[in-house]
Amino acid sequence: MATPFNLLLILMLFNSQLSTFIMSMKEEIRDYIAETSFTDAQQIKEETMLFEEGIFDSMGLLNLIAFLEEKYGVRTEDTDLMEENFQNLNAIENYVIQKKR
Amino acid sequence: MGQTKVFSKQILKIKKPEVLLDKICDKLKNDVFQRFRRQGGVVGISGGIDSSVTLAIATRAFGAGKVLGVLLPEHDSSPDSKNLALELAGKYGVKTVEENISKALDGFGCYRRRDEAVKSIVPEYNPLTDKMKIVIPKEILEKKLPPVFYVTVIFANGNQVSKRLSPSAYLQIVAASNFKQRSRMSMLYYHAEANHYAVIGTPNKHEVKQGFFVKFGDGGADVMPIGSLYKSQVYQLARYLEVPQSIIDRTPTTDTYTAEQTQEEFFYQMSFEKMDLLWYGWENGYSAEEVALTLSMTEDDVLNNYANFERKVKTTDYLRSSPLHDYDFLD
Repeated sequence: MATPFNLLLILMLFNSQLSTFIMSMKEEIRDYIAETSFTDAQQIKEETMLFEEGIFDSMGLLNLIAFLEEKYGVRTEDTDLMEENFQNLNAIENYVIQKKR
Repeated sequence: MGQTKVFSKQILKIKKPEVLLDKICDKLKNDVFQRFRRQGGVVGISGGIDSSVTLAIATRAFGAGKVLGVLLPEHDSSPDSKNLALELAGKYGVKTVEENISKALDGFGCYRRRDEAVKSIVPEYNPLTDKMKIVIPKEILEKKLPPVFYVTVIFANGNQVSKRLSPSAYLQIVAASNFKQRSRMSMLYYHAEANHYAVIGTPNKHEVKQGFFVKFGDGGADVMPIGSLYKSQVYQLARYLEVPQSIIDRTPTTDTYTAEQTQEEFFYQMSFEKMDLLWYGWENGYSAEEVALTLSMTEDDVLNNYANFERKVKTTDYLRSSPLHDYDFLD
């Protein structure tokens, strides 16, 4: 029977899994960017501007779009192509979460 | 960088073309005759403004008898190119040779590899009847993202479709198409070596600095006499050198894909006049405020363009780099 206590436990578990998913997703994306751009992962902070700082160029963006589709099943539509969705790690994470909803 | 001149729309106007041309020609003669010890120059002529001005300059420097114009048509070339190139050579009294490179390109699999990649994105594409080109939608650039490439197929019935390219399809189309410029370069070096001449390259300043050339293709040459000139300055010299008006009036094209495509549409995304001034402003440290006022743009717009230039220079450094051979670790 779903008591309030059980529901709380389920919610906590879900939140913890979600946090783990988000953390691991951010790390995976950071690792992907670091590996493909030959940049030290430590240098890629959550707010590091990937294009402005020259970490990613056109090919980087195209590859990232392909990576997000392959890894998370996120299909990027033409209308999604805006700076707000790809400019840094936080933006990419938010974008993936929005698309997964 | 500090600047002393007030920014204006006239800032790039060459005040004394004859003086500038004398300097360019003196250096060209010195580079080719003294430094490289070659007897003259070979220029690939396409009927475009850059190769036409380059040929005119080479003729002025060396004399018509020491210049060879090479026409390099292929399957996808516009027929206008040949007629204009011949008109140009006739105007300056330069000997020409025509080399059709279609079979060489066939041998490399240039068309097959390109069409295979296009078909992976647009399966209905029929290379025998349809035309294609790579485009960068303007809306993407306005969103402050690096260029994202699309393929546009124009079907025989006039309908067209544009689809975003996957990384592998984009790379394959570019790599296959680059056989064109690299085959042209090989043929130019054949004629240069057969005549003991140098290859006179045709890229202008934007092409060199923004990386709008193919490494070891049109970027493969011994000397590039217009490599420091803005496009509007190339046009100014074209008028001074009396390049045929039909060439001056022609819209610059990429001459790479089967569908007609202007350079502005593919790469620069703005008029040459505007780009020249923005680039000059960026390169010489003019404030966005001053440039915006002169060009009736917003400061944000100017800053976006500055950022775009900076990014292009950074990401195309590889193209301008000569082979690295500083691997001398011996004691």
